[in-house]
Amino acid sequence: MIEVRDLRKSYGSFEAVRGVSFDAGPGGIVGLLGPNGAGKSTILRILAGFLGPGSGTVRVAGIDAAEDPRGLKRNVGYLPETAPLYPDMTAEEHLAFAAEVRGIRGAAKSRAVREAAERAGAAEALPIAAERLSRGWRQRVGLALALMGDPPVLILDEPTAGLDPNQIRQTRDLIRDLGRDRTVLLSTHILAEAEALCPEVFILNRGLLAGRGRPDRIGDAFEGGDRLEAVVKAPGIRDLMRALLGLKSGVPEGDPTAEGPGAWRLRLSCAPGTADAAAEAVSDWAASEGFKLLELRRERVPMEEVFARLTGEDPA
Amino acid sequence: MSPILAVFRREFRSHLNTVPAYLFAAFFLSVSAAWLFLARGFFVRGEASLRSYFEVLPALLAVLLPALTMRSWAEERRTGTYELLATLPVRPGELVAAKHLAVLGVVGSVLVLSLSVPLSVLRFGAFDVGVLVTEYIGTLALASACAALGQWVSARSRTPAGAYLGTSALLLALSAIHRLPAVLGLSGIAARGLVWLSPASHFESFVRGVLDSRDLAYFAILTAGFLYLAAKALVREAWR
Repeated sequence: MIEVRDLRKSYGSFEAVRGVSFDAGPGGIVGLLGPNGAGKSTILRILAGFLGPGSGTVRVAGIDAAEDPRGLKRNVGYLPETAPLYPDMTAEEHLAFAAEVRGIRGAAKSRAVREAAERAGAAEALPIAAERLSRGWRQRVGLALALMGDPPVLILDEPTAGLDPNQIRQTRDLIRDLGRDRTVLLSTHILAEAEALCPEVFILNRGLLAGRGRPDRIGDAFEGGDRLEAVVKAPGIRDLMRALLGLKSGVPEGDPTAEGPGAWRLRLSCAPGTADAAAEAVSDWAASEGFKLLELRRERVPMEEVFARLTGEDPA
Repeated sequence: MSPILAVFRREFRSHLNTVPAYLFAAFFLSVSAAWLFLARGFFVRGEASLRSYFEVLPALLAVLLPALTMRSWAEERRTGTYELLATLPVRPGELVAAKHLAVLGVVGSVLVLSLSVPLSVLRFGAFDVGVLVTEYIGTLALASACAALGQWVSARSRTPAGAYLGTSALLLALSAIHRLPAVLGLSGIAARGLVWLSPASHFESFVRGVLDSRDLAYFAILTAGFLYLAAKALVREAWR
């Protein structure tokens, strides 16, 4: 549904996007992550038809952004970061305007306005002038505008920025719902949001694609990508330390810590892609040493750490 | 409904909801009437002609019309609504045309109101209605060219104030350019060229009651040219 190939875009001498390629299939939610200035908004603006690609190819629903910008816009609903609205127009007038521009008229227009407002949770705001709407309501009206004409692709730039916790929860539920029957590409720098919403994320850094994958697996490629935590019951710490020398998979991170009478907690790091095998090896090792395995837990590298490593930022 | 009509309706309504349109109407109507009755002494001269009323319009439009066109793009950019407008499935040329028609709609409405001036003096003499109609056609043609130039300047400006000043300066310069040959002592092709370039010299024919297709073509070309440049400026901004 979205196809980006070697996309580049410069503002004067500053290269904001430096050869980014990615795909997003039909249906589902894809996250674009990155620190400020990573190029997220530039890419979203190109996909929405607001900016032209400097070079490279951008296709949405099979339509080339350079060849048919108008066709591309017909297939894309776009919510900019600030949800810009005309202060003197009500939410209903905004939606009716967007419907008219998209060629929806008569009874179909009224229906489209009502449906888009209801789906975005903006029905209560319909008679209110935009200048009197709070940030949360503006965001909902912006989302309703993006939904007008039922486009197969939604581009959302920081859709929960500036919202209160309740509004964030409601917006996330809505995005989850929208992602069931269309492709949603959203940018965010809130990692928990990406983990909660997106089955797939692309991490951008300084105009380049720094990482991609499932949020829970994106750290797999790192050295020590996964950790195991095990709680074993052993006769004593000396026996446990001696037995650890015979552990075939997983490298202990520091000394075991006492977890209770005769119980010790071990932290082990694993080579990339070996966590499952390492868990099995720990289980076998405990049995062969006559230890009781009270707990075995796989712990992935936190998203914050992945983000920090990929973008060169300090996780603290 | 075509996208042009939808955008035109939004723009026209927006003009009616903002102060500049009312300032334009108030100053246009009051200053032009004051010019005719007070400065040019309409009743003292005893002529059944409104030529002096229309003669002041190029300068008046140069100062007042930019108040309508300055917001076209510079204000959209300032408030961020340009991002909303530019991501709707409408061509830049359609957006430019719709905004131009909305400005002409406001100007046309004010011109209808200005009919009160000729209607109020009709009973004082034998006015030539044909000349009057030609003068109004000329005023609309002149306003169209000025508005197109204003939209082009607005498309290239960061702020509405910058757009206003730029448009006004250009229009005043164009309005006065036909006087340059006399001031500089120029003659021949250069002098004729400067006179031909000035909207005021073409508007003069209308004021005299002459409906010349060459003058109409001049204003049509100016309008189309500046609207084309405005659309190109928007496209260039997205692709630069």
